[in-house]
Amino acid sequence: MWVSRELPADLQLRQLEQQLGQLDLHWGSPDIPSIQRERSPGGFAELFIQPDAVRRLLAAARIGQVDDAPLAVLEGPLHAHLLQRQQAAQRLTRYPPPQLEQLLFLDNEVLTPLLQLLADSPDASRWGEAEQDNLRYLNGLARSLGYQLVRHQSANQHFLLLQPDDGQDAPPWGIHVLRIGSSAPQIVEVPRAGSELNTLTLGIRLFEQLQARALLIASVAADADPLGRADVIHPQARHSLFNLLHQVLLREAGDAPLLVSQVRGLGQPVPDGYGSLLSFGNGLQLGEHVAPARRALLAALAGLGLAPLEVAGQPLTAGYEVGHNIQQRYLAASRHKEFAILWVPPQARRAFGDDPQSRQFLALGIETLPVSLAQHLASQPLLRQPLPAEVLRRLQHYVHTRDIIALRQLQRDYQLQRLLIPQKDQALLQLATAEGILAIVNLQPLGAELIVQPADLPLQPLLSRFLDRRAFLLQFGDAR
Amino acid sequence: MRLLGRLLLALLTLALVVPLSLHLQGLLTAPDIPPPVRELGLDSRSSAVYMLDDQQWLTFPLISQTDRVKVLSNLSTEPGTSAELPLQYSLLWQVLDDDQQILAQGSWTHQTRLPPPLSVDGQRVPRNLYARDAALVASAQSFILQLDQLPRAAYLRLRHQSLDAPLLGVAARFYYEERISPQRAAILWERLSQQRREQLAADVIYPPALVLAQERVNLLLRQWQPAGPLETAVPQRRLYYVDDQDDSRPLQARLAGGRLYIAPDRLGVLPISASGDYRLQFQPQDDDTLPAELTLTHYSAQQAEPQRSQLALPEGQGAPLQHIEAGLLLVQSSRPGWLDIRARDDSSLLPEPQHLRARRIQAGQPLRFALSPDGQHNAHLPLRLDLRLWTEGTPLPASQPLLAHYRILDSAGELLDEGELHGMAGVSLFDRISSTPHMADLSDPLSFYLRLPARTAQLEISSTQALLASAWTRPADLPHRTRVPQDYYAWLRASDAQPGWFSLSPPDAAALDEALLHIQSRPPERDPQLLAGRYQWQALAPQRPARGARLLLPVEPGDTPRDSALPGYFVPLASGRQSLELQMPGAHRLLRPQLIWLRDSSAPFSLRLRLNGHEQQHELAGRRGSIALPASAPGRHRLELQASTAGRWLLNYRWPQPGSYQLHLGYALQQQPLQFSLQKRNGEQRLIGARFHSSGAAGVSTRIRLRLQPAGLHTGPSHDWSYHERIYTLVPDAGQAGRGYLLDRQQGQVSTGLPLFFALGDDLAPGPLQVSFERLDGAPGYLLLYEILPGEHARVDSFTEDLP
Repeated sequence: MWVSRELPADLQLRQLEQQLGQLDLHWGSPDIPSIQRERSPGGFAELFIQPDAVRRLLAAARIGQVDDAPLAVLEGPLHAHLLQRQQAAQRLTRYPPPQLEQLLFLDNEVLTPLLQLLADSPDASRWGEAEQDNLRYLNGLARSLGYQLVRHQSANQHFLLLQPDDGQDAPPWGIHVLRIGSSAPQIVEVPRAGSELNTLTLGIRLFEQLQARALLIASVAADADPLGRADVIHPQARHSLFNLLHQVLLREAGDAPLLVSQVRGLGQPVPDGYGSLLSFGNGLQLGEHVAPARRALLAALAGLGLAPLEVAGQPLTAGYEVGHNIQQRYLAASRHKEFAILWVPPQARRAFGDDPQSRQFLALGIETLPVSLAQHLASQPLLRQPLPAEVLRRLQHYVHTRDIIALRQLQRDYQLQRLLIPQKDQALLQLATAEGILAIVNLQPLGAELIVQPADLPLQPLLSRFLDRRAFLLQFGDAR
Repeated sequence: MRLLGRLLLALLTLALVVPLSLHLQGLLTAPDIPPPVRELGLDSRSSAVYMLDDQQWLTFPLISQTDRVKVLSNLSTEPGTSAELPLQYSLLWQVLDDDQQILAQGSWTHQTRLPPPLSVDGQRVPRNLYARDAALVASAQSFILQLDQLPRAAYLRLRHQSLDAPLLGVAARFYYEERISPQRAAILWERLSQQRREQLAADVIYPPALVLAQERVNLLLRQWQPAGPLETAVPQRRLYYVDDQDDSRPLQARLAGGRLYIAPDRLGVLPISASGDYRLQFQPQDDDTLPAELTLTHYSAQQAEPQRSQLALPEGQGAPLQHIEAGLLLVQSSRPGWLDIRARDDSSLLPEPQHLRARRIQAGQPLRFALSPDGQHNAHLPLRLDLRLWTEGTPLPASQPLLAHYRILDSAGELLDEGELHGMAGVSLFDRISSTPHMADLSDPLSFYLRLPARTAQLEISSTQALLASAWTRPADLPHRTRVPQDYYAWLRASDAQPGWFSLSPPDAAALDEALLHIQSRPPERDPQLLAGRYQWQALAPQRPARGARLLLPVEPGDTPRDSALPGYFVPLASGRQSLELQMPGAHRLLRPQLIWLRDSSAPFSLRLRLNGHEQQHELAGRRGSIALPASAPGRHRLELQASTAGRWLLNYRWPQPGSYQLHLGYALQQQPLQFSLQKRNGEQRLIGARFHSSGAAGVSTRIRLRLQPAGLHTGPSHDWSYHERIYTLVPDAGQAGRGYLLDRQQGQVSTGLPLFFALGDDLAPGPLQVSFERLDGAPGYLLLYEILPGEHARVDSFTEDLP
């Protein structure tokens, strides 16, 4: 601040300094001519504001009353919570986009301090009163915009959720998950959870498989706003909470490498037996070396049964390059960041969705049980018998065609049960006789893999493989 | 040596670039700007592009050890090429070292489209165009190569693969990534013009003034710099891009906004599950300043006829809150647009969109469905095939013949049966292709039912028309379960309702062979003859042994009896002296009116009746009963009624008033099934209905099994399907239970009628048909089976169930 002669009479210097962060006071006049300065008889001051201070000033203008209600703490499977929230958001047909100053406020006052807190105190189990106070305060600030911070824990994993507030007419700006504690330098984004079937379930699985740092979800349908402002990957939707979080996470990561993967729905099958298409925004890497983050992504996708074909100019992948994606384009303002789009074909996405045929089971009187597969199999006798060839054909016919006749035929010879695995969001069919369980079939498998437990090996590792890869069939013995 | 080489190369490039830029300046002079841009004064940008060849390589030097290079290309096509078509072209690339050795190579296939032209002052202007060339230019495509692992890379060269008509050529631009130091980047920002800063920071969420220092440096650290090729005799041109003046309208037309598209030729179906106050919202697709009018048709379980009303929306605004009863609301609009319906708390009531995947059939492209690999058990396996006409963007005529051929094959591919599927298909007022809801190019489905022969493994459908097909199966031995009434009505149906048919997916296919349909529930169909009251109602008697009982049932509001039914209607009569009219239109004979009493006590009482001066004295007892009055001519009479007890008195031969009853003969459905013998005649429409009057209290269910035993079965194809075994679960609610009386008993009340709808379709062979009703469990009650003969006569629901 340049002050000529004396300070203006009513200027509250201390208050101004608080709002700006730092104030350098110069007595004298800058080299810029000013007719007001020359003509003013009394005190005259000129304030030159740095961009960072403008951000502070604008953001601070929004802070009103802050109630520091304690954070809600949720337990149970993360995906169940997110899917339930998504179902509510999906039906919204109105999308008031956030204003720039609201985003600035969230950035400066909530997100940046929150990421700082998570970086400084990564171990949630050691959080003391200071951290709790801090979180309560940040939650209070978020709530002034209709958003809330929620803690979520399941199986030794801790998350902070930024989600629309329950108690008021909250804006539908998506639900966003930050992992507390150590995480891989990966971010998973689901930009069209509201319109591309099952991409959310897939995104959650990938987030878990990668142990990623954050999961960003744009909940409302991309077409909820007639002006296109709900389609968060579109340049017209630059001012979205989804995009803000993307930019803040990349910015706050500084020069450290980070790979952002967006999960998108593909409208057609992927050629040559690949599970998905993967396109990288940085283009085609020539040479042998693959960056660790890319390697981790490829491994995670293989683990989910979605081993990808990289988009590298093949005729069949034309049109699936990263293209004009606004999150990709922000990478120019960051360093050592990478961006990828995972395109998942319809059949694989169906494998990650609800079993649409539940009414078939209801009609045939086949019981549905939610179970933990390991515990369920441990409590029942398992039959080490090969499956008759015609039974295998009937099962294959069923998973390909959903023909209820195949189920009805199986029902004549076997006791059928439908098993729901809530932890993995999968539906299985159990074939049993009076003596015990003969086989477990994934009702929405990815591919046709048969897993047979050798007699001398424990079942547990095979169960994980069967579920993670969404294999077709699990048997307990030699199938020859 | 290498450095020297690069220096020479750079000099060479410079030598090329300077005259080139002079040449470019020349290009920028007025005569070379494309005429529409110049004449309409449009904002445009332009770049120099190099025309690629399919034989000769075009070589670009890799300047200053760049890590990444980008190739942008624009395909040009012959004038008149369709903007709808996706266009593909391939570029071949090679990375070479200083010695022209190939370090890496490949091809990149791009898919592009011609961008829709802009409309400026009524003139259509292409978004991309050359100055003196009528060729159409597709949207630019790019690919990036990362060269950081190829330190010896010195050149990139490009050509395109040969192009077939209508593709004409490919223009390319080449960029390399230039890096500067962070220090220089920090200073450079301050020197940039505001416009350049805005360009650079366009993808940062904040305006340039609020971009953080770290982001500003990053934005400048790496810059894409254009470079020209080494070759001198390269055809080079200037490509103009016209800036979009107003991009909002096409977007608006594209986006459904999660709402329902309706138009004069597309109805919106809104199931209203609970009565309440709702607000209809309508956004016209085109000009939202013009008024729109909505035509509403409301169907409910109570109303015989749908209620129609008009709703004018001035300037396309939302309607005020209005009370809407539970039921199905059909909305038609005077102009195309998007519909939404919201409750008082602003939550949307639009139904979850119902989607159906259907597979394409066209000339030379038959469709095969695989059946369960258990041939010998597949005899008489029910299969339903839904076929629709689809004209892909061309409006479909109101009605058009549909013809397809089916072949049933065994596992060896041997033909078991074949035949034709035909009918008249009408353009659908309800269903559309999901992605193009504004196009009336889809017909309603024609359903064909087949009972497949033994050994069936495949069903093949072919047609010379463009059709969409979906197939459904159901186990022949699976009873069809219906909960009454919630499964009957779209607005009450829960997601766990049992569908009659279960979809059979064809093998996975490319997206082009499949269409996603957005389908809607249909309103209940009612026969116009029935609605007009022109039908005969005839009760059907079961075979012995069966026990009948007279049921006194309340007349529902809206029931208007036909004239000949007046003897069966009993109207409240007050105590004391009164004048009343006995009616029987068309009858000249004497009438024998009956008086029914309903009391709470069974104690004896005396009743004195004086009709036109003739007095009758009765000593009676019991809670309910009836006596005959003296024969009287139709017309006005004086009647005096005096009783020693309180009670309700009902007299027939009068038009119903509130509180009136109807007398029916029902048959006890207790332990033994009730058997009815009917005759199924060829081609004759028979509407058979049944009603169950439960003796149970409100909330107590009864399960009834219905079995049809026809003389024989048609193997199809037929247009109807009759379920041979159905199980109904009937639960009277508080408004239904205990409202009727067993007239001949002193105890016992029954519910109002719970309908059991079923069809006798053309899949049943003519001849004797046995129909049996069996109570499986739950409260006993009384059953009425009746037949409606359209022609002359009170309202009955004829009902078409929604298919799944």
